[in-house]
Amino acid sequence: MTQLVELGKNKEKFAKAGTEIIAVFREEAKGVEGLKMIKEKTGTTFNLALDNGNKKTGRYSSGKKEFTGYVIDADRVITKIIKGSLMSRAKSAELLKAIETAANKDADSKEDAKAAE
Amino acid sequence: MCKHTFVVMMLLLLCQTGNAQNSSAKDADKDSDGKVTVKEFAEYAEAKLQGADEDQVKAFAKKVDADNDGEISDAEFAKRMDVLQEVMNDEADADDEGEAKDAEKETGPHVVGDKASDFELEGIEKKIKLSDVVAKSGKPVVVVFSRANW
Repeated sequence: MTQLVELGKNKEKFAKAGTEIIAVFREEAKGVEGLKMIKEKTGTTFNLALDNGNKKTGRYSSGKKEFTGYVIDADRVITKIIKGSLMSRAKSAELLKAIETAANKDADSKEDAKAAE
Repeated sequence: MCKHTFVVMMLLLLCQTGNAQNSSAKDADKDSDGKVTVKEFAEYAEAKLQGADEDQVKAFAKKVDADNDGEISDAEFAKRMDVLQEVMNDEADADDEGEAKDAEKETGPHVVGDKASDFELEGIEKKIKLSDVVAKSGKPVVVVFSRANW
């Protein structure tokens, strides 16, 4: 949850970038109730989601005790993977930088497409 | 043309030649000089397989020319169906290998550049579907994996 709190401190920056954050929990024994408790405890406004047993997100963060962060662009292509562990997770600064890069790339490709028309 | 299509086309050749035992190399001897070159055989096969990939038919014709002398003898012509079987087996093996690699690619851990696999998960108030979130925001989306320390 430390990561959620750290990201939360920069929520305005993420909001300014138009970025939605989805935090997936895979070991939440209390299920959705647990998510509610996390929201209450951290005060997060991000999307909290449940995938106990790693049934639906198997291709993400698949290593043992791995807590990886992904930046996914508007075309749903993964543009950045930031490996994380129990002790060290993707931080706001890194994510915001990757978001900016992805957004610029997207804008460039749209401009190229427009110019080609 | 994909390999599967080539195999299907070859099966068509098998059918269109009808009773293979009644066919002979003479059928492919376009200039009636008594010899069937690999080129003539390829043209013969291609005519049977309208729309087939030229390179694949040529490769098949070359394989029929077992002694590699540039001509298809009666004996080689008679064995063309065996060659066809070999080609089909090779193609099937190659396809299986390719499909296994594709499957691995589609199920292995994500890497940069991958299309992010979609998921729909339970959320607090509603389900959260990645593709919907991406489509709605039109901006980059961050997905992190976390755990609570109760």
